[in-house]
Amino acid sequence: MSSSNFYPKPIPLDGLSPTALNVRAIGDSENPVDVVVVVDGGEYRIVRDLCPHMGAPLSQGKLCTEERKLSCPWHGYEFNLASGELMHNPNDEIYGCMKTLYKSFNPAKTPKYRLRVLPYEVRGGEIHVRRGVSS
Amino acid sequence: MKHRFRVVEEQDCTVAVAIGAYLDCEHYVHLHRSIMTKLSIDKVEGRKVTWRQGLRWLGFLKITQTFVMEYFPPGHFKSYDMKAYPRWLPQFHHFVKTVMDVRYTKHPQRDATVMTFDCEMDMPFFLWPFRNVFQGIVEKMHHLKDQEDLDMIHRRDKFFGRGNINSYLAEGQFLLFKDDYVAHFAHEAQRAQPATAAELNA
Repeated sequence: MSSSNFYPKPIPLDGLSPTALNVRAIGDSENPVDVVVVVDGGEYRIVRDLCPHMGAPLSQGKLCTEERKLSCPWHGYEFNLASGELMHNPNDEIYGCMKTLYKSFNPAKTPKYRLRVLPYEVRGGEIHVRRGVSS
Repeated sequence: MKHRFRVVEEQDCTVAVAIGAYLDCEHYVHLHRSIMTKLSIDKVEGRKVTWRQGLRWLGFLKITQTFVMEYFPPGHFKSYDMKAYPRWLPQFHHFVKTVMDVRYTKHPQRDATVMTFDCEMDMPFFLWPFRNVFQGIVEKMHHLKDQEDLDMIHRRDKFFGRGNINSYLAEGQFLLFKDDYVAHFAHEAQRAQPATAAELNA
């Protein structure tokens, strides 16, 4: 397996908190990439530190380990960490009454926001994060 | 007795981005959670929205208030008719009538935004000695909110390019008074970079 299939900086397993959002840099100086690592039982959930909605740093969001849920710190969007799917937009409860008022807003055109859960391999006490398509 | 003060700040972003961030209401109760504890809408009439808002003053004192926010496109927001909620609960707004005005305008020399915040507090004589304390609290909360907005704006600039309002203009993105925003700023989409957060994640 070519090393170019992986991001250049592996993530040491030591120091990963099982209850917190662990933010780690896995890119290089030319292409810096920050990811959030969540310890989920014996597995790891690794996503870009970038909300697919507006680009918020997900590492500053809220983690619910029981529901495997990660909430965006800017807009509160709730994502399933296992699948990456957007589970809930809590703002619909506040702004639902306004969402039919504007011609330029078409909720049917809202993208299906989804976290890209990055594939990885564990070798020698380190997580090697794979580039390319999510598993 | 009326106490008035003004805060003027130069913001390192375009006017379209500053106003887009202001109208991107879905962030209010999340990004500004250190000062805003809850939010709901009581009434919408044209460009007037009556909000019910929970606030945290000085980091610990929780109050709930209702107020009207009126929008004068493209960059003027006025907040007034602030009342305690529930009405019977003795609170600041029973004694002080507050009107706040926020304007975003283009900087005359630079590619930046001038944010002008005007506040008028009409208070009885016995609260007059505390006017500077009230001003300090309002200024501090306003500054904190602005700084959180600017941190968001600058991070988005870094990833998507300065002045990129494409995500605000996208049909699927909800904004307050979105038709007005699109009418005034849709032409700026031309010069923005096409990247979106979803593309960066791909």
